[in-house]
Amino acid sequence: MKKITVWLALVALMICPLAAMAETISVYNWGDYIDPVVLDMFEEETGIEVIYETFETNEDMYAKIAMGGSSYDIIIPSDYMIERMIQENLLQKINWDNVPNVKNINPRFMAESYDPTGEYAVPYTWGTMGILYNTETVEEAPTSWQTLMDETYFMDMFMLNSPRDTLAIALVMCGHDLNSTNPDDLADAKALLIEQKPMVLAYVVDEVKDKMIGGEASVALVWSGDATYCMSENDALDYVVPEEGSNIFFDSICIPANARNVAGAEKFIDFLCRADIAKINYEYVGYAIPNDAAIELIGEEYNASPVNNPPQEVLDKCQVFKYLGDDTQLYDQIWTEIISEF
Amino acid sequence: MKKNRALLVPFVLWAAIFIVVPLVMIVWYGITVEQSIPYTEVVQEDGATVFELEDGSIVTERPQKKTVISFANFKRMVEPTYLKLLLRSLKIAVITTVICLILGYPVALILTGRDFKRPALWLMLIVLPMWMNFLLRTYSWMSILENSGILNSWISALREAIPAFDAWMDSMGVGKRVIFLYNENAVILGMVYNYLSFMIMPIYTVIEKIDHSLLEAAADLGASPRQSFLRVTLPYSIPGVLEGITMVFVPAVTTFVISQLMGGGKVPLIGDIIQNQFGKSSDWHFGSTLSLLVMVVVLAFMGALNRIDKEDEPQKEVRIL
Repeated sequence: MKKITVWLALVALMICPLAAMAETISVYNWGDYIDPVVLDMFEEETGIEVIYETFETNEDMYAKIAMGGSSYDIIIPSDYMIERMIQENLLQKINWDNVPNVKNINPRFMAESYDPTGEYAVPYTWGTMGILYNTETVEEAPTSWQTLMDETYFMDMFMLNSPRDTLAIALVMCGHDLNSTNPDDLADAKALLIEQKPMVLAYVVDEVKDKMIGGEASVALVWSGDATYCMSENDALDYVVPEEGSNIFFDSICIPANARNVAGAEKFIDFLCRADIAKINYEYVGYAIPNDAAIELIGEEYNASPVNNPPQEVLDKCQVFKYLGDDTQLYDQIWTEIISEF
Repeated sequence: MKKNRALLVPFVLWAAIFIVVPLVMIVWYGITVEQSIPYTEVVQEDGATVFELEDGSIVTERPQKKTVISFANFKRMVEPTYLKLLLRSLKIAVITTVICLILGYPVALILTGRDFKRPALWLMLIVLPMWMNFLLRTYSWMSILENSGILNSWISALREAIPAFDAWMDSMGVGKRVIFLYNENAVILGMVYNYLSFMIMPIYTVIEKIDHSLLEAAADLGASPRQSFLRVTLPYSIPGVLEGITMVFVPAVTTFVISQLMGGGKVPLIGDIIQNQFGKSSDWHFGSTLSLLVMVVVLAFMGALNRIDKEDEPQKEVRIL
C-alpha cells in the first residue's frame, strides 16, 4: 500500500508541471547579474514563468549556444561576443515595435561597433577597466597607466590573469590601438609586460576583490564592476580610469536565433528597460547603466560615483573590444609566452 | 559466468558514455582546427550586404568557419613555450611526489607499528581534512600566507614587541611583509598539503597486510630490525609506494587550481594553459591537443611504474638470509 502511495505521489509530481504548463521563457545571464525580485515581478505581471540559468564567462555561454541542443530566449553576452554571435548567425534581430521602453536607453549606447546597425542588442550595463588603488598607501591619486610601471609599487600590484584585458592595457600604454592585431604592436605590448612582470605580485581574476579589500596590494588592474564592490567593502579604495583611455564594455540583452518564445523574450526585454526595474537592478548589481530614465529616478547618488562617471574626455578615448576572430590565438600565444617567462 | 557479465553492463555503459565518448571527442578536437574562409564585406547599391570570397565569387550568406583535419596544433604544441611549461609541471610534480614520499612513508610505517596505539584514530585525523573541499583548504592556506595574512600579522606583531628581532629582520633585508605566496615554493606547499594523504593511505594499507609471521621469522633467524625492514617490509611495501606515487604524481602534473591560487598566476603549469584554451582563449582544438600531450606523458609514466612493479614483486618464498 505504502509503495503505491509513493508511486502515485511520484507520478503526480511528474504530471503537475505538465498540467500547469504555463508560458515560459528561459533566461541565461551572468551570475549575480539581476535582482531576483525583478524575476518575481515579471512573473507576477505577465504570468510568464522565468527559467533562469547563469554562466561565468562569455565563452562558457557561447559554447552552450553554439553546440546547439539548448535553447534560451534571452542571453546577456558582452560586446565582442555579440559581434561574434552575429557573424555566426546565432542571434536574431529584435522587433523594436514590441520593445517600446527601449526609448529609455541613451541613444549614445545603442548601435555600438559590435552591433553597428543596432538591431540585435539592448545594452544592459556598461563598465570600464581601470586602476583600483588603496588611498592609505598610494599618496597621489594615479591618473595614468604608467602607475602600473612605477617602481614604487614593486611587488605591490595585481594584474588580470586574462590575455585580452591585460594585453589591451599594455597596447594602450605603448600608444597602440587596444584592438590591434598587428604583430609589431603586440610585440611592444609583450615586451612591456615582460618588463613589468617582476613588479607584479600576482596575476589574478576573481581573487582580486578579496585581496584588494584585505589590503594585499596597493594598486590593481580591475573591471569597474569589481571596483564598485571593493569600494563598498573598503572605504580606503578608490578607482580611476586613466587619461590615456581604456576599454569600455557593454553587456547587452540579446535573443538567440533558436529562441522558442520570442514574444515572451521581447516582453522581458521591455520589462528590463522600464525605468523602475532598471533602478532596482542597478541597486542590486552595481554596474553603470545606459538607462537615462532610470538614472533620473536614482538621482544624484548615481552621478556621485566615480565609477559610473569617468570624465567625458576620458570616456571618449575608451574603446569597445572587437571580436578578434582567428587572432584570438595570437593573443593567447603571446600571453602564454609572457606568463611562462621564468 | 553469463550472469556475472550482466552485472558489468552498468559499468560498461558508464565507461562508454563518460570515458570513451569524451576521449574520442578530445582526439577529434585535437586533430582538427577551425578554418575560416577569408572574405570581404561589400555593401551593394541597394544597401544589401554581400560577401566576396578570395576567388572573386560573391555569396549572400556570411561564410562560416569549417572544421578540417589538421596537425597544425601538434606543430604548435612542440614550440619551446609549451614544452618549457610541461617540463616545469613535471619538475614540480616530481618534487611534490618526493616530498610526499619522504613525509608519508615514515607515517605509514609508524601507524602500522605493533605497539602503536589507536592507529584508526590517527588515520582518521589524516583523512579528515580530505572531507573538506580542497579549494576551501587552499583558500585557507592563502589567508595564512598572504602579505596581509595571519603569518605576516604575527611577524609584524613580533617585530613590534621585540626590537632586536625587528633589527635582525631589517639586517636580513626582509621588507615590511614577507612574501610567502605567489611563487613556486607556495605551489609545492599547496600540492604537498593536498596530496599527502594520497601517499600515506596506499602505503599504510600495504604494510598493514604484510604477514607478521614473516617479521617474526626474520627476527627468529637473527635479523636486526633494520635488516628485517630492508628485507621484508620495504620490498613488500613497494606496490603501495608505487600506487602512492601514481596517486600524487598524476594529479600534480595536471592541476591548475592550486598553481593559480598559490602561485598567483606567476607559476603557470601546463594545466593552467589547457584551462585557458577551454576558457578565455576559447580554442578547444588546441586545448585538446595539449591534453593529448599530457595524457601521453602520464601514460608513459604509468607504464614505467608498472614495469618497476612487476620486476620488484617479492618472491613467493621467503629468502633465507
